[in-house]
Amino acid sequence: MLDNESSSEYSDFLHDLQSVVAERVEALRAAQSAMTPRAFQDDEKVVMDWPELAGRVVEELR
Amino acid sequence: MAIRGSLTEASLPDVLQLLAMGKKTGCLGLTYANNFGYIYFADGAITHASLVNRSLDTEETVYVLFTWTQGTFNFEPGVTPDEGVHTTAIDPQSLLLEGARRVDEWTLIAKKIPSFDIVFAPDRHTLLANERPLTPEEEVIVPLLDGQRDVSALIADSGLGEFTVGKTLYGLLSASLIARVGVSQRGKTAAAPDDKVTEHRNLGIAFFKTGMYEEAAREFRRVDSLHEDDPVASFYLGLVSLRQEQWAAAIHAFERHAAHGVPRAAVFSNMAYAYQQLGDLTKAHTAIEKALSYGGRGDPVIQTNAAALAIAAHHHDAAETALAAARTLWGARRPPAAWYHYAGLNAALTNDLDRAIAILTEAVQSYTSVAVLWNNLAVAYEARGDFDTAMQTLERGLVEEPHLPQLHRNFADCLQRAGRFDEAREAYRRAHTFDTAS
Repeated sequence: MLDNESSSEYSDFLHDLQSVVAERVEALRAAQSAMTPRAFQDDEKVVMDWPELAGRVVEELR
Repeated sequence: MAIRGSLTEASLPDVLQLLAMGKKTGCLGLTYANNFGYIYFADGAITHASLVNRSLDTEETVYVLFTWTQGTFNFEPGVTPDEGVHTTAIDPQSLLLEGARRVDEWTLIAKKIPSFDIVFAPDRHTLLANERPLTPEEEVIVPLLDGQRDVSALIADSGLGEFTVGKTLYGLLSASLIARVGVSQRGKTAAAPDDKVTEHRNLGIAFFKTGMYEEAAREFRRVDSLHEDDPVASFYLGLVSLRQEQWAAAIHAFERHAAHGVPRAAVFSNMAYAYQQLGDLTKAHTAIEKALSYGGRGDPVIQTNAAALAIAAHHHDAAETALAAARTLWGARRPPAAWYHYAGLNAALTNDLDRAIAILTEAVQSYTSVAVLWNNLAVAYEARGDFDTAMQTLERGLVEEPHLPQLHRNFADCLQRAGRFDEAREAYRRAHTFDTAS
């Protein structure tokens, strides 16, 4: 069982850790955002070409 | 997936009941010798039916089709009637009983009236001596029996439909009130070349619309042999080749059209599509520019095609202009899924993720079953850092299309990020499997 002093230290440690984790997550998100165009140029992630003729091919002689 | 079969193995009533029970939407094409008919369905109900080179209403058409006991059928899901075509909603079950009765009766009628080029004339002596009052149908038919009109002409001029005309003639013949006097000139001589071209052309278009591409190509090649450089034939031969992913053959057919026909925007736009599939973006660009200059600027499908080509060439401003033009041209109508796809993609590629998400969210609300739209929406969420929504979006897409490799790869990325490594490995493996299969 922790005494009052130790409990306070642990809370401070958790508080510090929380802010560090938050900073790291934000940094990761920023890095992801900066990579947006690249993610959308990767055809292993994005479907680039519409897979059907409908919508691109005209099937009436006009 | 298309359903094909032989009418000797599965009769039309069987097929109709199957499509009705399955609440199918699409087009059932039937072919018998040189005849072709089609029946459109929406949620299992018959909405429209027609016979090529004949003019009958939907019910009469289905009854005629019931008499076809040989030939083939092909059901193409998702195909709907052309705009402007009169549609209705008939429960196929309601036609089965009357259809069966007519088939039985027609077997008897066909023994006395084996073809539609027979000419009948009234037997005046018997008619004068006849004391039985004529039926309302006989009152219509008898005055038309002039010794010149054949059965086809009687059907056309009476407006009664071929079953009623056949049945009426059968009754008159049985009572000896009329007699066969010969066959029409149409029956004796071969059809004029122009008529044959029209017949094969109409058949080809009908085959094409119902997804019977081999049969359509056969008919258009016949048109070509009868009428060299027929513009409709070369256009449709190009379309058949596109459907069969034969890009070079499609280009050849469209170029033949361009060399001999009036320049058409549709021909150049489709040619541009085929060039892109072959990887020749330069020629694709030249062709789409021609399409736009020949009236394609006013066509939303051609503008969408131009946008897709511009995206492939990394000309995102040009793509945006074409997409905006297409959207304006559709007006109050909902744009097709392809437009949403390219509009969302172009927004994302220009780093406007919020707009990409807005466009693709609207898209999946309208086209819920299109997994490609769900996938790209998920990537947009992922790129914006909204990983939970990305994962939910991918799960939704996988419900619609469990074999799309991109969905599995993106799902694996999400699982990896969440520390669910074993599940991620499995998802990567599935992505690889489906990627190899496709």
